[in-house]
Amino acid sequence: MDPKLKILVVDDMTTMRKLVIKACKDMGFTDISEAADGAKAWELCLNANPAFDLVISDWNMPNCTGLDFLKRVRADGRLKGTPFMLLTAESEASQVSEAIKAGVNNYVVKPFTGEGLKEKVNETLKKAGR
Amino acid sequence: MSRFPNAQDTERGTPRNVVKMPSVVGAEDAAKFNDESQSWLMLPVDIHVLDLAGVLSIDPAMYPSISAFSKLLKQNEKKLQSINASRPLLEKLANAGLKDLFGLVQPEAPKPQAGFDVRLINPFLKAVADVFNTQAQTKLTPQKPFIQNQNTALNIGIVGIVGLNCSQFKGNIALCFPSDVFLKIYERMLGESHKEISPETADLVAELLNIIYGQAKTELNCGLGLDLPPALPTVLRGEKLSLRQNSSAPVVVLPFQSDLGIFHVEIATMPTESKIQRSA
Repeated sequence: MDPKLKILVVDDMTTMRKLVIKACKDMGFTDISEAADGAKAWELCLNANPAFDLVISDWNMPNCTGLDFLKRVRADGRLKGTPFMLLTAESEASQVSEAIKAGVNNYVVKPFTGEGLKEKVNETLKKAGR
Repeated sequence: MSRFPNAQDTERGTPRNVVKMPSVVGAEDAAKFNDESQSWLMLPVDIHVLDLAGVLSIDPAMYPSISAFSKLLKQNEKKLQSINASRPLLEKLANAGLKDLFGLVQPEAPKPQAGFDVRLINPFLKAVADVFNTQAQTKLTPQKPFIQNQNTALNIGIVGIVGLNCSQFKGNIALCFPSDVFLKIYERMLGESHKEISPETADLVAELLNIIYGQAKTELNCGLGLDLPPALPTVLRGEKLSLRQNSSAPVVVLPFQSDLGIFHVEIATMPTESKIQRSA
């Protein structure tokens, strides 16, 4: 796992972003960006060069949900291959299906432990060949 | 109109005469109490209860009247009890050695409210315990739930609140913390110590409630066929704390004990259309 990978953390809650960023830093990542909603995250993605190596996003956010953000990423020619994790309190089967249909690479249901999240991050990056 | 309105009830199984005491019981009330208590002796009940809810003070000149009534009841093998005294009043009467005279008992448990289904509470109880155990590394011990009344004194510094809106009922759930307990939980989760709650730290309560709501929603929607939608919590602090419960719906308080202190959850619901069959 390359610590220079670029990570984007998206959540409308400051404390949740802090928790996820802390877990990423514990894993050795140093290039971590953050956004408070899907709209801002989309702007960051468009301007990121090189593109982010991993997006970890919440689902329920104002302005643009994590699911809509995922759909935008998957519809973009340059960004469609970006490994994308949803980290969310939504756990109903219909929602998980919807996320898988939209192209999510991994789905983590809150609550989560730091170790559990790190495992899922590793798993996602490994599957994506990063 | 009587200074000491009374009514008989059998809610506790045994017939009782419940006397509502005025908020300020003065020396001038002694004579009225003596007169009215004579009529209560004729009632076919064995227990006479002085309801001290909302009573701010009892003039010591009243004590002989209460004492006389209590002795009369004992002579006739009946009992005097006093209920719902506020903590300050309880302490004052106890310090004056009057606990037995008044027959002071533990605060009366709230009466069950019609229209509230406990199957709605259990998923939230479970979710709170699970979320705090996993996300906040904090084990919780649920305390006995109760229904909030005007005498309930709750220590609250910050609240996360989210609406419960489905076709079966409307209401809300609030996650309520004393400030010191909230800051300790924050420190445990984030490793940061803060002396007071700020906008930066405050959204933790919304996130915890977001996760609790999400988990309970899944169980309620899948298990009971409800249609609770995703919802974003709001944070209330300071003056806005009083806004958290502003409907006539009964509020169930679920207290939780932890090594960082006590906090609680409030659930208020008003059924619109019940699709949940009540057990017999």
